[in-house]
Amino acid sequence: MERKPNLDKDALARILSEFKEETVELPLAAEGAPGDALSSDAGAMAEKDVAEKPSPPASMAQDLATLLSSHGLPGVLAELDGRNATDAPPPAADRQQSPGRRDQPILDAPTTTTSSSVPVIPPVERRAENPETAGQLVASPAATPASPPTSPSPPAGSRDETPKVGAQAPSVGAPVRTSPPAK
Amino acid sequence: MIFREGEPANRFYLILEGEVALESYDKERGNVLIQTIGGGDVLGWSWLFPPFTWHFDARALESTDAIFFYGTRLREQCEEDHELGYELIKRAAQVMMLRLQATRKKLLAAHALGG
Repeated sequence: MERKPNLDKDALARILSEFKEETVELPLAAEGAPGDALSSDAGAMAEKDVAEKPSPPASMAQDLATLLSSHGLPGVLAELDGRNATDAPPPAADRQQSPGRRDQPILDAPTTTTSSSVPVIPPVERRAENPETAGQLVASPAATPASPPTSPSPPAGSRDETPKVGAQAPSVGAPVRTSPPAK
Repeated sequence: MIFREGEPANRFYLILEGEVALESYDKERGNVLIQTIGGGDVLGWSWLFPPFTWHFDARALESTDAIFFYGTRLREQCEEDHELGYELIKRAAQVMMLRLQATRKKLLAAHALGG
């Protein structure tokens, strides 16, 4: 049985003839800079890319904070340190859900502040300096909404544990913190 | 420890201030530092992609301030709002590229030491 060639040169030639022919000379490794041999179209596109390149944000974190806040997605301020997270109790919202499961990942759960403000990166003003609170995840005064809520915040025990799409998102400044590293 | 490799990934962090080491555990060498990130960097994208588990350990080298977001909620939001999803994925790709480059450098360094 005659083996059919993998490449049908005639078919390939027909296909290629349908495209605009353009010769691009690729520079040898030792000569020219990358992009020297770009075709006029490609060169124009490259110039367009450069022209359209947005000015870089101050930082990726700032960029994302801006993006997420513009979509009404606030974050939670946290202080992290070298302490083993499994030593620290989960935040109140998670504690209600899985008491004693300190080695479990913290489940998503909305916080309960009534603030509707969009998040910005707030100034950080807390440190876990009090040995009494070391290792605990505690709410900070920054969690208080900028304007007084119309109704008092519910106690930790009454927190809604079920993440809801479209529900009131947690506000920035509902911080948690942990203790200094356990050396 | 902020999170460990293999654990479910359900948060991501915007680092405001401080220093966090991304490490990977090796049986022979223990924890291997992959990259150190600090203020202005982003920590954790594994919540965005299956299997939603961390690929590195993250350990704060000093007291570190961050804002975290709940990954599950963000995923849901991205499903509802594809524009947001697209913008997040673009940024995720940037971070993953940086991680990949850092890993590549470590690999080259390890080869240099071994060879």
